[in-house]
Amino acid sequence: MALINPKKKEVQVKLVYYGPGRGGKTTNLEYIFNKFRKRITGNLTTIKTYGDRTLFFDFMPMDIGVIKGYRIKMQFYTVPGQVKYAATRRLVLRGVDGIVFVADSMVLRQKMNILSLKDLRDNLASFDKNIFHVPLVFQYNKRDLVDEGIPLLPENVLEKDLNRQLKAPSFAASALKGDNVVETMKKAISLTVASIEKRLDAKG
Amino acid sequence: MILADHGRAHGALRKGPGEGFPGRMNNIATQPSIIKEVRSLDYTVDLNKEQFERIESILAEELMELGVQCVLLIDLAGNIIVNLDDGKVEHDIYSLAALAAGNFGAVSAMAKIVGEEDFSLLFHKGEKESIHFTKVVDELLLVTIFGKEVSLGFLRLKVTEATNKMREML
Repeated sequence: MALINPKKKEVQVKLVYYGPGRGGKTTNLEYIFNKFRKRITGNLTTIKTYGDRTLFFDFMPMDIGVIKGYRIKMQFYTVPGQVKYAATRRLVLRGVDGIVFVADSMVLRQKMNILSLKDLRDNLASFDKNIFHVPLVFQYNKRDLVDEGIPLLPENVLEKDLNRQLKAPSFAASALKGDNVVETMKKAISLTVASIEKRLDAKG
Repeated sequence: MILADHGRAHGALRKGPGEGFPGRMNNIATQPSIIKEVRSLDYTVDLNKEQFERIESILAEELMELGVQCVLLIDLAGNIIVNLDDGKVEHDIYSLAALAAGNFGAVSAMAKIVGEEDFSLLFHKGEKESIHFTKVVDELLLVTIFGKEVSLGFLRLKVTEATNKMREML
C-alpha cells in the first residue's frame, strides 16, 4: 500500500507487472526505462538467472510529478513468471497498489495466462485483497509475432479468457517494439493514483 | 502497426459482484495503531509529520552521530519511510530499499525452512563499506551503511538503542 510521507510531501506507489514466464514483463520495463531515462531517478535493477530469466524481480523508480501537493514516486516491479517462483511472486506483491497483467498472445501460452491470473488472484487473496478491488490493466503482448506467422490468440479470446468478469482496461501491445507499452503504463498509473487520492485528501 | 485500445469505459472503480470499493481503505482509517495490519502480511505505516520527525531525530542521535554514512528505515514492501545520510554518499536508495526488502523476505523464508521464526539481524561486510540490517518491528527494517571507521560492536549497540526507542512509539 502506498507510503505517504507528509513531511517530505512524497508518496511511494508500487506498480507490479505480473504474468506468465517469458511473457514480456521485463521487456516492458526495459522499454519504459529507455524511453523515459531522464525522468527515472535510479537504475533499472534486474536480478537474472542463467538464461536471462528473471530470478527475483526487476525494479525501477520513476518520478511522475506532483498530485495534490505530493510528489508521486512510482516504483515499478516485475515478478518472476516461472511457476516455481511462487514464493518470490508473493513477496513482490506485498504492499502492491496497482497491477499490469502481461499476457502472452501466443496460442501455445493460453493455459499459462489463465493459470497465472489465478495465481495472482490467490496471492492477492492471501493478503486479504480482492482482485476486483485492485487497480488492474491487462496487456496482450507479442502482437508483433503475427508478422512472423506465429499463431496468436485473437484479442476477443484473450478478453474472454482473462477479462470477462474483471472488465479491466486492456491493451494489445508489443513490448519489444514499444507498441502500447506507454499507454498500458499510463493507464495503470492513472488508475493507481486515482485509488490513493482519497488518502491524500485526508492527509491534506 | 496501430494497435487497438480496449481501455474504453472501465474506470478505476471497478466493482466485484455486490461489493463496494475501496472498503479496505475505509477500514484501515478507523484503526488506531500506527502499523495497520490488514491481515497476515500486508502492512502499511501511516505516520504523521511529528512521528516522522521523531524517528529522524532518534536515527540522527543514535546512528548518524556515530559516523555512519546512511541509514534507512524501510517497510517490507520496499518503501522508504525515513532516510538520512552524511551528505557525502549518493547511493540509489530506492533500489537499495527494494532489494533490501526482497533480501530480508528471502532470508526470512530460509529461516522458516531451518525451523527459525526469523533471522532478525543480517550483516554484509565489504572491503570499504558494510551493510547492517535489523528488524525493528514485524514489517519494518533498519538498514545502516557504514565504513571501516565505525566499529561493528558499537554500531550494534547503537542500533539496539535506536530500535528500542522506535518500538516504543510504533
